[in-house]
Amino acid sequence: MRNLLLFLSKYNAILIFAVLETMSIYLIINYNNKQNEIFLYSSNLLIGKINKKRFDLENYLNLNNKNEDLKRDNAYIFQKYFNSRYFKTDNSEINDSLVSDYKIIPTSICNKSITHRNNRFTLDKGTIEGIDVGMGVISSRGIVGVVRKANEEFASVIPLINTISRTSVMVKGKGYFGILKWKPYDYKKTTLEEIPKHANIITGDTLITSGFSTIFPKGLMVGTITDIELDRGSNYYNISVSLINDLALVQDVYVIDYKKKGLKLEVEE
Amino acid sequence: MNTNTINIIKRFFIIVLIQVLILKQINIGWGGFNYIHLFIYPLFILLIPLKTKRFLLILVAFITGIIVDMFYDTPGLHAGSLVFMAYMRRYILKFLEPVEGYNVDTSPTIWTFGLDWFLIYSSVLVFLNLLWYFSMEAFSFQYTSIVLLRTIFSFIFSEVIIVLYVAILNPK
Repeated sequence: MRNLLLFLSKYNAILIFAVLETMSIYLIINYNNKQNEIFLYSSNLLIGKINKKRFDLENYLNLNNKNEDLKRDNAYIFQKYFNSRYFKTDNSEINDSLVSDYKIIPTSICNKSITHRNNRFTLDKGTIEGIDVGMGVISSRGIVGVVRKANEEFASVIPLINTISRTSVMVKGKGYFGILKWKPYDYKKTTLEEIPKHANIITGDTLITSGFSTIFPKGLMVGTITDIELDRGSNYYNISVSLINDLALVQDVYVIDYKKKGLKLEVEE
Repeated sequence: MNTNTINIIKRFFIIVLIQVLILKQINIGWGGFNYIHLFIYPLFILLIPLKTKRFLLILVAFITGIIVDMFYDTPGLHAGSLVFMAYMRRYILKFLEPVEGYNVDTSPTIWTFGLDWFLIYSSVLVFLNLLWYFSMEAFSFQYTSIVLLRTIFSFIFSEVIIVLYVAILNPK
């Protein structure tokens, strides 16, 4: 016992170093597949409040730019609405069901990281406003990510620029489907996988959401193809995609609540 | 609680708030990569008085790191690198020890040991901290060049900020 105590007092520094370092590495490794790390999240209430205060101040100082942005968003949405074929139809029944399929919840990003392998955004609204896990997040320019966690006041989003993000997309006008995966660390680029080598695609082709999942409706802008490579012996292209949305700047976002999600998942089960 | 302890606690709040409220918002880079991350919180560990027990220093480093992690949404990342830095501090201090030895009661700053001494002391430890941080962040040898670039660029700018803080606010 005395020897043990002597040993501990002599080597206490290296012991505590080893213990705490192991703990840190454990936390880093388990960050992605753990469900009970709530107290470390920025959606955690106290940290969330502090972040929100800072965000409010920053918001106030940026009001001019924000007004411009909102005007642009409104113009874009009006333009889309007036040009849409549903607007011109006289059949109010169809019109209603199409409008009420998707509910759009406006919100803002109050905390975000774009420089890590596993980036995260935090939204400043939560389940009280109707935001829930699995809903898609878009900005006026294109898609942003998917809600992964939500409590009463905040929601945590996995953006496109996270290594675990997977999004089903299609090449506009050509109909090939692929999956969008991100590789660190460039937040303006991502990669497209599972496009077979017989596909007739060229650089400059536009990618839109496929509408296969219940997260995003069909036809939202994602990005453009910048580079196409074919590995020898592979059946699939390696494709680089440049994102249309600048995720470093995006601030005002909309959450999409798809009303028929439950019904769709039920038949697909 | 003597005045020294209270000063250290005050300094803790100032440094951590500067880090998470101001420096966190600044990301400088080009072509979609962010090479420059500004870190000031290692300074808190650098300035802890020399007589502090080693296990206490490492524990304080862990707690500081976890608090920064909460704001950055990166559990364990800052904590791990700061614990590593706190562990290495003893060896760097031994290496840089002046002939007459240390006056154990002081904090190591520009005003107690001179600018040259503080520059070497802080740059070695901050570089180790950043290298550990970016390596753990990448967690793979695939990104070695990016890790090195990020470490070097972040190191230069963080070191400038740390020296400025010490020179302007003059912590005793």
